[in-house]
Amino acid sequence: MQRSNPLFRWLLFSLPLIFLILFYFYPLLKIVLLSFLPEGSWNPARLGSLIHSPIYGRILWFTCWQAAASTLITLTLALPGAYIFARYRFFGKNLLQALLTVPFVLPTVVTAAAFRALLGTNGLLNNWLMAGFDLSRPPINIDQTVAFFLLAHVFYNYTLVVRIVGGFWAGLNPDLGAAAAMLGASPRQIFYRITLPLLLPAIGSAALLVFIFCFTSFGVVLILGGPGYATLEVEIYRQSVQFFNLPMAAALSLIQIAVNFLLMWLHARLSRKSQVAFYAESATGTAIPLETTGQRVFVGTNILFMVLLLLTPLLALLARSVTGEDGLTLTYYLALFSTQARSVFSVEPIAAVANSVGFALAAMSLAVILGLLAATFLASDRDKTSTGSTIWDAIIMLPLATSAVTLGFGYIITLNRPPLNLRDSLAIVPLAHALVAFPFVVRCILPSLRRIPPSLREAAALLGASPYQVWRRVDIPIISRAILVGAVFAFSISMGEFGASAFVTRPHTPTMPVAIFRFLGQPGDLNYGQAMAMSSILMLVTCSGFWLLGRLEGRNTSPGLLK
Amino acid sequence: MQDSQKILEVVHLSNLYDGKPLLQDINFSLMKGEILCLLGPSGSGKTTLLRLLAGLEKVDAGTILFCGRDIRHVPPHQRNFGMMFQEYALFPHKSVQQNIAFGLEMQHCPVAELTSRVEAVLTMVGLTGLAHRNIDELSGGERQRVALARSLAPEPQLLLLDEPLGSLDRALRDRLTGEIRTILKTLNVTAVFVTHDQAEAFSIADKVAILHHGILQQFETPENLYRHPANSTVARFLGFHNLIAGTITSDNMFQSPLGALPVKNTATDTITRSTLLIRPEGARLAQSLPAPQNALQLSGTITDRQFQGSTYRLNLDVNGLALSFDLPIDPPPPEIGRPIQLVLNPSALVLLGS
Repeated sequence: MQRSNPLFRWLLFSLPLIFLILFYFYPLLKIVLLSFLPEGSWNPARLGSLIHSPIYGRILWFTCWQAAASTLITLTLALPGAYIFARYRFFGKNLLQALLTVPFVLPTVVTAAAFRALLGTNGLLNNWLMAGFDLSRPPINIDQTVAFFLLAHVFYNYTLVVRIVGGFWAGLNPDLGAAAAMLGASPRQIFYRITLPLLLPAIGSAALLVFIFCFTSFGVVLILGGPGYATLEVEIYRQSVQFFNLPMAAALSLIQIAVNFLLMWLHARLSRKSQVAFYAESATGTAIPLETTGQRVFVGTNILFMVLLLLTPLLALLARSVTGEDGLTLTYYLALFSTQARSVFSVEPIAAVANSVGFALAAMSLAVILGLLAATFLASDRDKTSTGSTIWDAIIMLPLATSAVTLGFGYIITLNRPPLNLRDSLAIVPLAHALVAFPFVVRCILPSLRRIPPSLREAAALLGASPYQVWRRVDIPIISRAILVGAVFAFSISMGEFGASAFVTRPHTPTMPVAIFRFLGQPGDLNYGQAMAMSSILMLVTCSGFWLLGRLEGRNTSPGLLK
Repeated sequence: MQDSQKILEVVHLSNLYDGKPLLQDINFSLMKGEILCLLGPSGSGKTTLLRLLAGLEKVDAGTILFCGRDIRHVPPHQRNFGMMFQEYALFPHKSVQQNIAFGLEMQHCPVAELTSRVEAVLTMVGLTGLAHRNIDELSGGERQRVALARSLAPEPQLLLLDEPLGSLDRALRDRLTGEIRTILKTLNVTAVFVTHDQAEAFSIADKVAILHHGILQQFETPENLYRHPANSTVARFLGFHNLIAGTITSDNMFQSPLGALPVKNTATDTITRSTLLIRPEGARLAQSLPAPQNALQLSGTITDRQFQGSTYRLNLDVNGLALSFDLPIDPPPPEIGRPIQLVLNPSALVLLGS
């Protein structure tokens, strides 16, 4: 491995490469072909007419507009939060930091269900207000409005901004501010002339990431926005699954792919310049205790806001799942075990749990094996800045820049006919999930693999270890924790994956997110309650995965993703 | 007249961290244009003392007077003190020129004057032509010079330097130490310099303050400090090993396993326990000198002999005591295991305070 035989390196990489070609580049190519050759012949005029149709412009404008609005609102609310984490030491900071990771690991469908449970028409708050003030109609009506999914976007991305900007802020050398003070700068001048300019790359990087996430938002908009609103992702889904207008869906996917690549490229450049880690290590060394009343009020307000924003929807979800029309009940959980006439499934809904776990285990195994091979391939190139290395790294990361919906759409137009007919195969779901999780696994393993000093392997070789023994007894034990982190990530991503699953899941083998989506789309209290119950189960499963990871990693509860 | 020259006075200064005392009852004063070195091991409180002078830490007890004015409540940005930080703390988003100009901009210095002042300090530190470089394009030594230029540009009333040479290699350190002293003396800047390196302190300072466990042990000129360490803590920190415990009898004799040695300046006429320091350079081979009258002589066995270039370092066993001395290379001392006779210079014997 050390003398990295080129043939052996490529042999290692062949498996991930074949996987990417078959399940990533082939479907994507098909989308492009379908856009330009709608009836099998070159017809760009058709694409032109689609792009010039009023729907197309309206959807694109709405997608950008809502992403920009979400980004602005999130930044406004989260920057004070980043400041208190970077600057102050306060009681319960570690707990709060752990709480901050929760939205990040929560599947979109669960988030949507949680906000429905809290603020929806028959949500907890409306129920209480109606009961308390004897109202005949729910007083909060944000179901199926823009405000509802913007709120969910803030919930998701608040954490991201606090972590990226807060981590960067805490890592700023405090001597810089002291140096400016010694040169005569007042605290205000220090902020505007030193701190803010230094923070700008981190803020820009965080803003861009939030924009990307909101631009590709699917589950939240689909569930909370209702039929009146559509982002590009939602429209791709509707055009292909509801209207079977595949050329239109392909044309929409095309613009989605182009914009996503552009944004991710921008983000990669920006974060390389500012060296902002996706999940920055939080430094507490420079934090100071609270001294004045003003500081206490400021920090207290922010903490209260965090708890309200992050915790209440999740508690409401749990509460709503055990609250029926006549008070506390386990009806909804029990209903998951039975096939009823009113049910939307031909099998017991609880089977979705087994499906999800099975798919997730398969996807995890595949993603970890492929990720390990790809990471070993990349790490064996000693010069990590060489052109070849950079290009292969970028190619492996490409799936990260592609929305799951586009991918799902690509799968249904390619993998349903020879040469690769997987239409009725159970494998298609884990394959899609493994592709989504694969870049994350590489990002988990690669840094630890690169951190192993070559002298360690050389020492083992001189002590008589064969290349295989070196790999088995030096590399693997050192990176075992990183592999574990990657595995938990892959499992959780698969459990919560909705965008691709919405396309490729077969009706009789639904995954949990798909089941929740179907329940939420059906009328009736029992369906609603079952959605809440299943969301609660899914939330507990994903959170416990990360909780376990936190325990394994000791005090540091944040997984070292994309460092 | 003397008092009017005192620029900095530290009176009964104490500081606590998490309830533990970091500095206890520090008192000293500094004249205009003097360079003071705060010397001590890590954790001795020297950086804390510097940051208290800068106003970056809060004073818990005592006073700091600058030009006779109590400056405890003046925020750092209104003190017009300069400070050079350990890792320089150069602003990474600004060029060399912008870093140096920052302090002048804060003083609302007119553009034309600002440009010429930046140019002048750049020339002084020997960095002409580097004005438009980025900070990350500079070597360690260049960064150090930019940091010095930045802190000098606004003409501070007091310059504070926190281990400014700590991260450089030995050769560069030695050269820059000399350069810094020349520049500070040319500008007649009053400065406080923190270091843990004794050689650096001796070559740069007019006064040295030895700090240990937050207590000011001694405040002296480098030469007096070396000749007369105040106590065994200072002596050990300065690298002296020949510390001999014994008693002083009423006839001004120091009684120890070495025998009775005459000592000066004992104001007491009772028997007291004390420690004697014999400085390592204060001995010669007995046969190389015509033995003077009443010369102090030591005889022992050589346990180790290291050739160190300009001197031999000898470790001796004298009546069960381990002593070490630096002897000239000519005439060469006897081999390991051989007996040796040494003559001691009386000025190399220092009686230490408790």
